[in-house]
Amino acid sequence: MTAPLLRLDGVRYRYPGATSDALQGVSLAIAPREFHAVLGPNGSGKTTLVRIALGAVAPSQGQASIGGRAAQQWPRQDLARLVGVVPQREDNLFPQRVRETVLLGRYPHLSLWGRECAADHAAVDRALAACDAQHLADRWLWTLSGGEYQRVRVARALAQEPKLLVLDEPGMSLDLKHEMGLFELVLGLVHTEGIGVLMITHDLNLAARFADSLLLLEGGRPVAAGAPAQVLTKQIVETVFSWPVAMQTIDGRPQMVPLRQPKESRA
Amino acid sequence: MPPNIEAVMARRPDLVVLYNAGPNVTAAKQLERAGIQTVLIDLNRLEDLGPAARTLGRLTGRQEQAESLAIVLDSLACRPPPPSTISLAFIVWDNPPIVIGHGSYLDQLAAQAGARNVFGDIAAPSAQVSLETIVARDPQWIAVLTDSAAMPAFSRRREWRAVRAVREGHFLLLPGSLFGRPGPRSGEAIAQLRARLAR
Amino acid sequence: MKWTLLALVAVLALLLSVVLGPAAVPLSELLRSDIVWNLRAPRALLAFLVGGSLGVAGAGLQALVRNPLADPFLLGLSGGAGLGAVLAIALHLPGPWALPIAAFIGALAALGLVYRLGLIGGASLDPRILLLGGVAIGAFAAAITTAIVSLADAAELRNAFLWLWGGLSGASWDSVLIVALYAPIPLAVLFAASRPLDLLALGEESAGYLGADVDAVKRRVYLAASLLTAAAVAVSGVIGFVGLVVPHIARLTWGHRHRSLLPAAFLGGGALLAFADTLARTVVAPRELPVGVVTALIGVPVFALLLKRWTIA
Repeated sequence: MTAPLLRLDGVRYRYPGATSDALQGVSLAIAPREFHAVLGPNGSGKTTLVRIALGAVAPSQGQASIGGRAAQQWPRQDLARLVGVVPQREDNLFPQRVRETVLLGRYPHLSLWGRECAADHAAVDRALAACDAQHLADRWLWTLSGGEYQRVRVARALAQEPKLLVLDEPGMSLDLKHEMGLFELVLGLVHTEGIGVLMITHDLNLAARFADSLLLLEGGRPVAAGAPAQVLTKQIVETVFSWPVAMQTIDGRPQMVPLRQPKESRA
Repeated sequence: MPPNIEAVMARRPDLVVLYNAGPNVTAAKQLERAGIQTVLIDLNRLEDLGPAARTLGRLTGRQEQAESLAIVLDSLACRPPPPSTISLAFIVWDNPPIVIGHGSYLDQLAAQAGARNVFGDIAAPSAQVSLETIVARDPQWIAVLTDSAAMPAFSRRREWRAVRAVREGHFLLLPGSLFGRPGPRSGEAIAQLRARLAR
Repeated sequence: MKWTLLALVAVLALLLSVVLGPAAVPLSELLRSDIVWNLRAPRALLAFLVGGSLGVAGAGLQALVRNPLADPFLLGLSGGAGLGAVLAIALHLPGPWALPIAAFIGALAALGLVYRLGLIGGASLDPRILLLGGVAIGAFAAAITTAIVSLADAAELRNAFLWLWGGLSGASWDSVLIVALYAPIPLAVLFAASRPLDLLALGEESAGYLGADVDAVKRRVYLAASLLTAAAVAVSGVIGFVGLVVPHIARLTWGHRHRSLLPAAFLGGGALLAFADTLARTVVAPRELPVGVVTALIGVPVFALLLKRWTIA
């Protein structure tokens, strides 16, 4: 049996100088063709989880491993051939065209002095096609809409030809159409490219609709993990998010609808 | 640098003599306001020597002595310069090369000593020039204001050895006390310069 | 095609440096002339090496601090070099190389201080701290320098400021050799960092995820760019605007891939400084302008044009 792409075992982490743990007792395993989403209110430790999972920081307790090897021991360039990350924010300094910025995703595969070859450009084209962005290839980045730019960033991560795709709040600041499009895109990639996906998101409903497995964190602790129907129950959601909700089912997946709560009747 | 007014006043001088430039002008005004007799003297060229002597003589009540000195100093300035037989350049700084041009005291000294300043065509008292210009103008002597007896450091630099006078070691090392500024010993300076050039 | 053009420009700049000058050397005597071989040729080469180094250092630095307005002399090195030079004169240090060596050591000292500042609190060379620290250390050194100049023998030390304004008068085959032996190492380090520098433009986090060892790259680029700048200052004083403007001009044609940008910045910077030096030597002949003045006079209008283009984009 092959090692999971990404694995966290009982991970605990406290930021230096903090009075409480940012993460406690978190476990997670992602295999190819699996779409995992990590959810939770602000400050529940989602971004910390990503940092530890990718070896950017060492856990105070527990282990983080990628492809069977401790996350911290992976040389940066080797890791970039395995894992493609789309972080929350990108601060692209210099003006570029789409094709150039997606080409940056090939860098982990290039040797120190080697040039890009036809195979690299082919990978870029494939990545753009998979993200439905070929028509954007020669556009300048600053002319793209938010949704288009996000797709380009996913294409760049795909150009790395990763086995695992990690996205941190990719839907933030996207409008409905583009957010839906993004989730469809990611799900499609799971099926066609066979990659594993770890997505941090605050959008409960979309996560429940598209992901295979959810991990719900609160205050750094895992509250529930497993299939969406197991995790997104009225009880759990109301407890974690401190708000009354009604639950519906769409496409066999639970969807929550927040209820109104006028001030006087606050329980 | 401006003089320290308090320190000067603490000595209770009868007369304060200042070189007429920059911060000294303001200092002079401050001293005057404090009731101390002050005078600013121009002392840039040979022509300034006579008037300076007379001014000092008037202020110190020694007009007669001052007048006799002034006559000698005036003659220094008015004397037609002898024909120049030797060429030189005054190098004030080496990197970048700064030379003395026409209209400066040193230029006058050179003329009176029978030497031609190869940079006499530059109107300013001092100017930055390219090293290759010095090489092209090929002065027979390089004059440097220094109190040391050793050859200046730049004489050992490779690029300066393109200058013939540097290669041949034809340096005139002029002590600052005698050659730095016009003064009552200017006549002596001219004489010394002439003697050294003759050797 | 554009590389051919750039190479031609570079060769032309070198040729002009050798053919033109305040001392009239007729073309027929060019090859035999002492002035050409001992003064103009090494000076042209030195200008090229220094200008090229500043161009590459500037490009690397702009990528490192993620600020297109960065100039190699923002790092506080010029202040340190000036202080070193002034100390060498005030203390009457012996030898014809006293001033450049002291300036180099002063620049390194400033580099060390700013680097140390950049590491405070585990900040690992935060670009803002590097820039602010550079300005602060530079100002500090400049203040001490001014104090020394006003307290000591004024005339000699005032001339040290002229040196600081930049000039290639000290050029000889000796200095060309030294720079030609020294510069290739930091230049090679910067060229080797081309890809990580491309990635750094996306931000440090993204660069790390794309395989760059961000901390190591920042250290290497900062040190290499600083060492190049320190040598440039020691040999030729502070020549501003080359490191700032040349990378931008190069980017207009070569884009942001450092693999081609850095060599273009080298050739462009070299050509620019050689050309500026020729102007410095000839426009007010027999006098000479400090080359730092010429590069500023050329650089400022070019910079204004670039700013205009930048804000339109």
